[in-house]
Amino acid sequence: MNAPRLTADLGWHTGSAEGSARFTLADGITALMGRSGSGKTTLARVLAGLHPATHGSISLDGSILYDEHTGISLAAGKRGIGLVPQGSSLFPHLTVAANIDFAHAPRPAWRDDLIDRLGLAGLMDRRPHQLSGGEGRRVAIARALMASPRLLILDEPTTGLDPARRRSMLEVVGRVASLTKTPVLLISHEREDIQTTATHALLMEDQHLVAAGDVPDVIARMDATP
Amino acid sequence: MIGPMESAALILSLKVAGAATLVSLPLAILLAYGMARRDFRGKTIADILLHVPLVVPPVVVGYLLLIAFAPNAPVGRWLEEAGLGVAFRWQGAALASGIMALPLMVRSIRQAFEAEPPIYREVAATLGAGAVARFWRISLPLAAPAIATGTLLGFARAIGEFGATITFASNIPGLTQTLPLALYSAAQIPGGEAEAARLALLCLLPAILALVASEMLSRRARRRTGLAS
Repeated sequence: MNAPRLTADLGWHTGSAEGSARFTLADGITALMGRSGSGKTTLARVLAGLHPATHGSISLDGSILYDEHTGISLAAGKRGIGLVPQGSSLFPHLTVAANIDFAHAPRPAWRDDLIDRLGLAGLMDRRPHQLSGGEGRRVAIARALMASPRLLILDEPTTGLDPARRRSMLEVVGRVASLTKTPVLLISHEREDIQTTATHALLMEDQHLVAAGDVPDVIARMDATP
Repeated sequence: MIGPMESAALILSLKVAGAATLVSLPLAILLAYGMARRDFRGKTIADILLHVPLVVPPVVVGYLLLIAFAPNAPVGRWLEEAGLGVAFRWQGAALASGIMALPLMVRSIRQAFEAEPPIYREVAATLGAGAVARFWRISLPLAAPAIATGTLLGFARAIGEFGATITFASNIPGLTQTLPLALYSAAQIPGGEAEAARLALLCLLPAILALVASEMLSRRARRRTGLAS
């Protein structure tokens, strides 16, 4: 495994349950696996600054995003983490172009290239309700990348897509990861998606991160759990 | 045909209701946003106070305004000295109508803020938008149809305002005599039936137009975003 980009050792509360995770992320695509309700989305929200951590620390590319002891907790917008939530999250009152360029950030040099590779060039004037599920998710991925995040989190990007669109979505994820050199945390419970796309994997069970490592090992661990 | 007396009342009504709505609107948006998004001590009491004009007899609101803003009342005297007096002037009629229209506007706008899925604000936050930017770029445009509807409802309510206005601003032809007040006067005079009927029609027109416009606006907004708003 390459040098870690993100290092996290943290805990959080959701209602009455406690969650925890201790792991590092390197370049490339890491899958975050686990059954539905195991806390994958909550972990993503804690990392992104949308759900409060209760203890521990998070650092990304050497800068501290959260640290219990020094009291540092950067706002979501200052963390450099792009989040593509599950389901539709495009701003419904804005066109595709306005959604993509929502972030007030310097436009990356690869902006037009990315739009081409995501197949969005012909959709720029549409509104979100005029897009298919897969198109909408590709727009959301482009929107997150325009803020030049240092980590991109994709929450179940293939849910609800047919097998052909699923494969093409995963190809897209691989392409944008290499074009933009952004490490990707891919939340999924589909082992096929993970096997074809990810180089490393993390496993959540009952709100706790219980395994991290190579994809086959983590899948074996998941299968061993009743 | 409408005579000079009716047209004066109509123009005054439009002026009073227009001013009342325009001044109430920013306040209504802020109150609606605060009630929808913030938790603070005394929120329940604030919510009840906000709804008082909807449920008390309007004459009570007019009476309370008179206690505060009459030329010999504490606030009123100070305003009169500053040349900003409102009692027995069209501005007073606008103040009374604005207070009566405010809760309707807040209710309609607040529902839209409450219905906004948090995911939009959250994603906007991860994209670097601060609280003010999220309000201007996400919450406000998403609530625009409800704001338009609330504004038109408030305008219709202000046009129809009677009790608070006659108590606080009095019924002075050409000065504070809006359409409903003129209608009330006409109905008091023997032989005023025809004029009362014309005034009643004039009262109905702007109110119905405002309701039709509000319905058209919300349909257009639904088409534009594909959302059921």
